[in-house]
Amino acid sequence: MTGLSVAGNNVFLSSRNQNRCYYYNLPNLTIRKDFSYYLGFSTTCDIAMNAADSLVWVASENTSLTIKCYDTDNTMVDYIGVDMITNARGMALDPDGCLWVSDIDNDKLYKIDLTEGIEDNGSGIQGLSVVPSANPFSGAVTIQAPGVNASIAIFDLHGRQVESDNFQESWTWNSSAPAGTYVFVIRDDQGASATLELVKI
Amino acid sequence: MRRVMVVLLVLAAIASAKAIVRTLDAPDTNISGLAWGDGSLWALDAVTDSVFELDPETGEILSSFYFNHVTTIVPTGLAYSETLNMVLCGGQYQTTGYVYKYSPTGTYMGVVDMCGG
Repeated sequence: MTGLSVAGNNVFLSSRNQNRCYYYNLPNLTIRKDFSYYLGFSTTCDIAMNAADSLVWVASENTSLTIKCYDTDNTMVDYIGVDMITNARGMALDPDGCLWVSDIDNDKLYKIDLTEGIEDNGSGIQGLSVVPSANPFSGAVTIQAPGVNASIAIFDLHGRQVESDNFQESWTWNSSAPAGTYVFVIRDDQGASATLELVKI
Repeated sequence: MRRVMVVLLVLAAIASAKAIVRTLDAPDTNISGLAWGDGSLWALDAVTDSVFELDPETGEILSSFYFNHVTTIVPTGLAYSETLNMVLCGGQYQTTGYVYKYSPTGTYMGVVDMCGG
């Protein structure tokens, strides 16, 4: 057990051994119920509960995605990368919905506005599209972003970065990576970004 | 035989990024747990076993107490119940987790072992 968070009359407990979040009734902690499984995450640390949206933020050691957010369907719905927090440990949410994180690499406490700058408009990068190869057996997929200079980083569900590159307008992934789910993080030179999830079978 | 790739879904599109809006010096060097309670930020240190109440605007230490636990556990999680006026300190030894209950002033109120970690 490595993470604790309270919401209402429940305490949420994160199991490092099981990569799961459970919750118990307060004050006795006698009745356990499942909340979420951290699919593709391990070596987890503290957690912070967003009870209103039934989401749990969880920190992890030794991963490129240092903080992930899971829903009750065990799906990662958001994340914070190592570019913002390098070694997250403690986690808390304040009443304004801001996430507080301790970073043991530099002994700082960070307050993170989770909503600032987020646009739920389908894509933060204008014209971004994903085009599978015309040949369904080729295994290739092309990211197209007309007029955009961007970088791309690809992570597996363990948070390991499996590939990264810079591109102009289009980039084709024709990898021999094993079957599985991959997260593509694309950032343009204006600071906009988009996240795609692809499943390779 | 080459594999087929299927694009299933676009998770989300985020223009710009989340933003760090405040940075505070940590009150100790191994803060492993944080909690929010009664207008304060609470922090737990994994090495010195200290629990700090902090001013979230300045990082000033408003109060602190010693988390007196079984010597072998590593403190790793912190929570605060405003309903019960209780600070919960968590830690793990091997595969068993422990949740210690304290008052906000550091009065020990009991411990629960969470078999299975």
